[in-house]
Amino acid sequence: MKEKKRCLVSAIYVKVREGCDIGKVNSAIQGHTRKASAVRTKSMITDVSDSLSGVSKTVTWLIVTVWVLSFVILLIVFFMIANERKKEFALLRLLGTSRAILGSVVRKEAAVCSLAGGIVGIALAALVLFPFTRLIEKSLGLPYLTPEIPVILLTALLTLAGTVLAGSMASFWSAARLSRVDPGCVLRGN
Amino acid sequence: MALLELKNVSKIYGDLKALNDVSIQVEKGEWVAIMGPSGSGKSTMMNIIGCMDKPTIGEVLLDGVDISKESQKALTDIRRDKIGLIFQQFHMVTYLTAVENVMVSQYYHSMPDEEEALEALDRVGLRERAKHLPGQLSGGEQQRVCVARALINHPELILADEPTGNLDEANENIVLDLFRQLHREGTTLIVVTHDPEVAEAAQRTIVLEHGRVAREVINENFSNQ
Ligand SMILES: Nc1ncnc2c1ncn2[C@@H]1O[C@H](COP(=O)(O)OP(=O)(O)OP(=O)(O)O)[C@@H](O)[C@H]1O
Ligand SMILES: [Mg+2]
Repeated sequence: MKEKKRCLVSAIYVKVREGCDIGKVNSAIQGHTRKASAVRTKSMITDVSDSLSGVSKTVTWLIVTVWVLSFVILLIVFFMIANERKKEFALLRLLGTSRAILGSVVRKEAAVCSLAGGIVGIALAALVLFPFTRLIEKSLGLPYLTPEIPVILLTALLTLAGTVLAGSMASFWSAARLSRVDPGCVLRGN
Repeated sequence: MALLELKNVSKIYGDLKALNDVSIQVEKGEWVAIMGPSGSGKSTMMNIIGCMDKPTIGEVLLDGVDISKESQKALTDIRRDKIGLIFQQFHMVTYLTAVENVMVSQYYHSMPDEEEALEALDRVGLRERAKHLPGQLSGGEQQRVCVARALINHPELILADEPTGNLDEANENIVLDLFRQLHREGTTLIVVTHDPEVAEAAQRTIVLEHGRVAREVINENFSNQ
């Protein structure tokens, strides 16, 4: 295989004082160097930041879509579970559970499941993200900076709260349906 | 005063009269069997007495309270406080052990008390199987757990819909012996059955046909010392 000759570019950034005329600095450097050239890179950086904000917009939409989708899936799952467990809840009603208690049992169960799911999900994400930061950086070809620890913790906490909230909300409908289950259907089912 | 009194009770589904103008009385401490062909309205009657359903017409007095007029919530309370239920199919919560199944009943009544629940299992001869799941128990054993669950809160009235329908001779006798004990302790028992032997254990048999009381038979040979 023939190796391609690569053209390497190095850059030296120059920090200027606030309010300084960049053009002047530029030509001053230009006047003092021969082989290297001084270029104003403001536009270059703006380009990168523009494309990055495009990426982050897409990511935002992806996140919204995933949340909505998971909410819908949760609704369906809880609905199916509710049908599956009709008999069990009718039995509990027979044993003297009030409708209010039964409803709260369903909602609490959903909340606990969501909490567990949230914790597992966040742990998995952490497991994938942190050890592979370098890898992600390499494959993106962009600097990939992990946010500061408080920010990460806050995000994790918010995600957890969101998960529990979504799970609980998705279970409301099923809880209402289940609490109205007819206790007599256990006997009639014979 | 009778513990239970049905006054001209009818339950109508569309144009089918599952119960048709039924009037019966059951005294406190009495042991009554209900017999009758399939579809004669036995389970319908049990559902109404057990506060799981309301009659279309008529009054149902339980301890002097007309339960046909009560709210859903009040009915739940009455069922929990006064009635123990046993079914033909052994309805247990599948992911709870035998002792936990008994404790569920305590939980909504008063306070779960494992020792008391174990004693109830002891009464039905299943103390050493307390930690087994329903799937690890035979049908007869499951039914005995259900009996333990029904009697744990000391209900005034035990309603059993074909409690021995799925049991072999040995388990049937265990359940009947438990009924005899409960009767001696003063519990009122209403037992739906197809089995003449089970009916003969009771003091009186009410026979339903086409939703009506066809006849009542007093058991002259009844003894339960
Ligand atoms: N929810 C319902 N809707 C319509 N019809 C019903 C309903 N429940 C019971 N029935 C009808 O009422 C009649 C009496 O039913 P029930 O279950 O009381 O009979 P049963 O005496 O318990 O019979 P089995 O010995 O077979 O258990 C039957 O004809 C049944 O089809
Ligand atoms: Mg029946």
